[in-house]
Amino acid sequence: MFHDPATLLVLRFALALLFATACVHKLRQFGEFRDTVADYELVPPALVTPAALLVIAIELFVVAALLVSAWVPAGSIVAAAVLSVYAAAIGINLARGRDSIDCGCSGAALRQPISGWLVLRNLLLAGAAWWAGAAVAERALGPWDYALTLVALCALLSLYLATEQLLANAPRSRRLSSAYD
Amino acid sequence: MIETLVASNVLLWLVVVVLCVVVLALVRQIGVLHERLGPVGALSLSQGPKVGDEVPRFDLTAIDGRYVKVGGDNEQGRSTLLFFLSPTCPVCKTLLPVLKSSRRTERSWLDVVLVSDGDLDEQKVFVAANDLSELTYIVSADLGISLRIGRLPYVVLLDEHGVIGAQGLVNSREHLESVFEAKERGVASIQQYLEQQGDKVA
Repeated sequence: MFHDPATLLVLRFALALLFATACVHKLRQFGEFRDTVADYELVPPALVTPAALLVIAIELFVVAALLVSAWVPAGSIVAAAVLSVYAAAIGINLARGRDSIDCGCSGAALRQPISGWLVLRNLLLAGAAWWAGAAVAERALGPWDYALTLVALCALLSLYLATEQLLANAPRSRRLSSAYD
Repeated sequence: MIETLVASNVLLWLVVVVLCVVVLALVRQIGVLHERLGPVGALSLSQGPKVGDEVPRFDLTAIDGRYVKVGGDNEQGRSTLLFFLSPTCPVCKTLLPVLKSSRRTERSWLDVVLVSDGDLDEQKVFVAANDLSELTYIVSADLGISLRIGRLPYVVLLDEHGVIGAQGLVNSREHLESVFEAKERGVASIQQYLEQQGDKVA
């Protein structure tokens, strides 16, 4: 099945933007990010720093691959795989009952504990990443397509940030409504 | 016909973008409200001993071999802050710098004791990694059990007679300071304070 190039363009850029911001957070606060990796307790303590560096390297590769047309199939597969691994990592810790660890999703500024919603969100994003690598229908892109890409990116970006904020608010709302019982 | 569709599509996209931005702004505002309005005090939990109860006396040995007495009269007339933590609790780790600075500012009247339980080797690694050697660090499951500590990080402030002056779950510097404040004002917890304020207003 072939998909319209404009749709895939939006998906590609949106995912590239997502991974780029994630990388910037992780690089700027590498210490915090390493602590987050350690808190997930999925790699032995000695391998925490290499694992953190590997994650950042993979994310940088995804950003680059999604921006270069020829690399998009590879970038889309790696992005989908990474997002699925994140979902699995959160799922494993939820199953262990360690639900108070920081997700590490959006840097230390906006701490949010892991939850089932984050597993769902990451799986949806993985699906979107998979879709971004789909076969493209032949069609020349005009100025309107680029305009569409731009506004769609703005909409997706603000919706994503709003979701992040809502997820960060959720535990505080719960605490607030139970504190006065 | 096609012109109308194009116009409507352009208009719809504009509306979608504006709506998305409005939604984002709204949830941001909710986030700010939460930061300002949340109960800025240590939340004390219902189970376990209450403020005003005496803690049974414990004779314990710190991780570095020092003798530590918890409970009972303090010979120097000093208060003791018991900080319950665990190497596996991420929030505890973020509070350690706060705890160190509070220990310095309140050292005229307060001793700080860190209480953990679990594997001793793991504790030693934790102490070394977080540079806690200057603090009194004891590993005792009994103390936590007798005070019925369920959630971490939890603090219990004992006055000079080994009586609980304040206690609560702490997640931030404000929470920790509220415990000192609560002891100073003789209020058991933030809940009690809010109730008293409510009574005054009513």
